[in-house]
Amino acid sequence: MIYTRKSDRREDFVLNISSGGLSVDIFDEIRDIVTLNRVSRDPAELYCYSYDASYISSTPDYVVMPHSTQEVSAIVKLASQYRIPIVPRGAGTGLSGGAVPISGGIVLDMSRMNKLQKIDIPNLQVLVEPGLIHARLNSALEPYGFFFPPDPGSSEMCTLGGFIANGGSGMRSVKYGTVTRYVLDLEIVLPDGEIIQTGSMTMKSASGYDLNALMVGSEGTLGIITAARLKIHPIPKARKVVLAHFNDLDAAGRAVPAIMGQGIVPSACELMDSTTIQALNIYDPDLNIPECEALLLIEVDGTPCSIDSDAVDITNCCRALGAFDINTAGSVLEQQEIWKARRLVGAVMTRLYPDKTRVYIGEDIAVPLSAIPAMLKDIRSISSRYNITIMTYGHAGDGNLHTGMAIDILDKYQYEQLKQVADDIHRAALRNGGTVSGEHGIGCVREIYMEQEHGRGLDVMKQIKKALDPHNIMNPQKVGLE
Amino acid sequence: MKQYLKDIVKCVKCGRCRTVCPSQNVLGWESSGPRGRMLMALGCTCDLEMSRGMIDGFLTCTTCHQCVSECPSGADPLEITRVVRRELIDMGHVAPHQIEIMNRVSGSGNSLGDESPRTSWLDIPVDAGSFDHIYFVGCLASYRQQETTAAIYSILRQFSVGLLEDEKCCGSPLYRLGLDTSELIEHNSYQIKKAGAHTVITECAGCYAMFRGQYEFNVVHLSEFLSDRLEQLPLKRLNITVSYHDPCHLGRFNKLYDAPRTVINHICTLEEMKYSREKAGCCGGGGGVRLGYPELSSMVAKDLAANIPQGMDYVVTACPLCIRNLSDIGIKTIDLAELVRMSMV
Ligand SMILES: Cc1cc2nc3c(=O)[nH]c(=O)nc-3n(C[C@H](O)[C@H](O)[C@H](O)COP(=O)(O)OP(=O)(O)OC[C@H]3O[C@@H](n4cnc5c(N)ncnc54)[C@H](O)[C@@H]3O)c2cc1C
Ligand code: SF4
Ligand code: SF4
Repeated sequence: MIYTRKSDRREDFVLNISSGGLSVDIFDEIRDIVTLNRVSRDPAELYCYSYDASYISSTPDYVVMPHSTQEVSAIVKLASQYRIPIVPRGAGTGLSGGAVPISGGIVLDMSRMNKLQKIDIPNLQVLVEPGLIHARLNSALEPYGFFFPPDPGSSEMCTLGGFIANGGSGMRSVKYGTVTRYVLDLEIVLPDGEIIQTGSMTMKSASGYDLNALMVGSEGTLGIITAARLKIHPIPKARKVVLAHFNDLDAAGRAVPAIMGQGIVPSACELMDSTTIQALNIYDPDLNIPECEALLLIEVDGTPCSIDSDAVDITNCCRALGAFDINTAGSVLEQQEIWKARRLVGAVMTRLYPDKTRVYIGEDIAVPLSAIPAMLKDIRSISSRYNITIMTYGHAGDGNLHTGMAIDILDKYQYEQLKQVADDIHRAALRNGGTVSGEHGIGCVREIYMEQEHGRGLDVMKQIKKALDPHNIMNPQKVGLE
Repeated sequence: MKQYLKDIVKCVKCGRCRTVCPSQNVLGWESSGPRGRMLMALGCTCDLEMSRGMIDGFLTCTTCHQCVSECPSGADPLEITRVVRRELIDMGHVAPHQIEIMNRVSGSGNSLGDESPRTSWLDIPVDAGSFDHIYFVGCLASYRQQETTAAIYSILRQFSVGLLEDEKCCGSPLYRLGLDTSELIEHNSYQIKKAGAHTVITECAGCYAMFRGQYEFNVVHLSEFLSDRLEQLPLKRLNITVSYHDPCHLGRFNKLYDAPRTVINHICTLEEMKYSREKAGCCGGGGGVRLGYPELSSMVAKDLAANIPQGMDYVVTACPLCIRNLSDIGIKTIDLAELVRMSMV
């Protein structure tokens, strides 16, 4: 007997609960693989796993917590046999519904496969299990003087498996690149349960297709990452953060390419508008950032000499574009406090409006650097057209702008309007030569833009999916592949 | 639960809290962590089926406050969990350990179910006079640390601190489990007013948080009271090194970090744990977890133990649950009051 797919997609303002209605029951077979205390079909548990951090939810039939690659492989084989959807999940911090089981089936909670298996300094790499929390890798590397550079805002909570599967990046990606640059080799359980390696231990390889790159950003639709070999980087000798305050958001936007034009590649370059500044001050009053239209946080790293001279050039550049108050974060502690607040500022927006909740929607567009001012202008006009505050912040150094909106999520009208706003933002990004997702992925919230963004390229993606997952069991209804 | 919907949807589901939650760190399941608890509470507003998983999910919260401290969006999973615990009881879902604690307190007036007189540690009758400050001793100190309590009271008495004529459990263990505490609060409040006191001195972290949150009197922690008077106390320095564990209900709940350290530093050498103050771990004993889920409780304690520096003579703390839970896994743990007693000349 074969599992009958269901469609149970719900959006945040709809609070009803759908019932499972299983067409096949494989509970006992799963239990035989992982033991009783690592599989659940308790309704409350299933409800918890029907969500990630996006506004979409849908209930699975089982949640399973594997401890080894062999267990993952056995479960995938079982799922393949019954054609049951299987959805890998890290920490469920994804913002695109990637880990939401849209057609039911099995959610594989990978967070217990969380060992840091090896720190291999001579070979500049680490071997990790996918459930390891991102920040824990960096804490473990620090005593060796090394770090794993791509650093998402969700570092303290997301898993490395989810980060890789989402093709994630972070504040330092402007200089150090996105996660894809750091993947040397992945152990993958394919949709038929077979296990492959996608790379090697070497620092580079020109041997065949780049399967690492194929798997990075595949959002769990092609296979399950059960181990990852990642490149690491020495911690730079010195870092400096320049804070430049502007009374004009556009001018701050123009400063970004201007800084790069000086031959400086900052290690981070974050843009924040006035609403974001308010949120930062609420989260950490000690930051005490002056109220202004925009703040650029620019970090440079290198040697003590190089960062001083870069900071002078950045200061001059920002001053020429009208920055009225430019200073540097003194101590390492001060720098850490600023980055900590910046990392979580998206969620802090909820504190600004006591009766509203920040909804992650239309939150991750990226545009070419030269189009940042035009995109900022578009966001402003969308904001006034719908009369809604759009908090704007992000990795301006790589053109990745995050937009934040807070509404009364129990109000259906506001909710529908919010979706319109998000749609306008996405379409404006595409008009500006950009993408609908810089780092959070497509999942099941942005798939309608895939054709417009990729054209025939989407057909190629669909063919790859079909070749690897002919029964479409691996995280179905994602990435616009159906 | 519908009246709490606005508080529940404050949670943006970011997951920041999942990595700090001691119960989720041990059990792994979403339902055993703060975000899951918020989601289950949301489910309760729209008829999510009651289940074993839901009940265990809500009852395994140790009430450590780490989720609240870390939440960027200002949500309060701890309070929502308490509210749901209460609702579950109203619906008739009362766990055996909830019944046990309820019976103990209603039968004996203390959380241990001890039938003996609460002031049996005192060799003189309670002075029924009028006092500005009264010492609220707490259940554990009254029944299980009697020598220490007598010693501490001998100090406090010199500063004209009185005792209640008829002290009963402050209600903390019941309150955290979602049980009714109105009678206990009424009783103790009447007693305090009768003694003419405006300020309550207490040492137990649970009592302290309970008085701060649910009573209407000034509250001073014993360490605050003593640290203001250190030069007047008959204390000698001890040649030992200790580490201090910040009890959740004293530290994160009430930001009381410095006074206990001032007292300890006056007496002996203090070495901090790897994570302390706001970031301190949880002993796993609170929220009824020690009684209801002993295995989980002891695993959380083991996670905390990994933070303790090597070679300590004692771990000092100020919460009876922390003492018992850490002692049970073989860590020499003493109460701050006990350390004070050891240094008395
Ligand atoms: C406050 C906040 C800030 C954020 N900031 C950033 C940021 O700066 N940069 C950024 O890139 N993202 C950011 N994100 C988004 C999100 O955290 C990242 O995408 C993160 O990498 C997801 O990791 P996770 O473990 O939570 O994955 P999940 O949400 O559980 O899953 C994400 C996707 O990966 C798949 N997946 C998970 N594990 C595996 C596996 N082992 N094998 C195969 N597929 C798998 C899932 O099926 C899903 O499609 C942020 C999110 C929040 C809430
Ligand atoms: S309770 Fe707070 S920290 Fe936890 S998921 Fe919700 S918003 Fe994030
Ligand atoms: S109070 Fe502690 S145990 Fe309870 S949900 Fe929050 S972090 Fe978890």
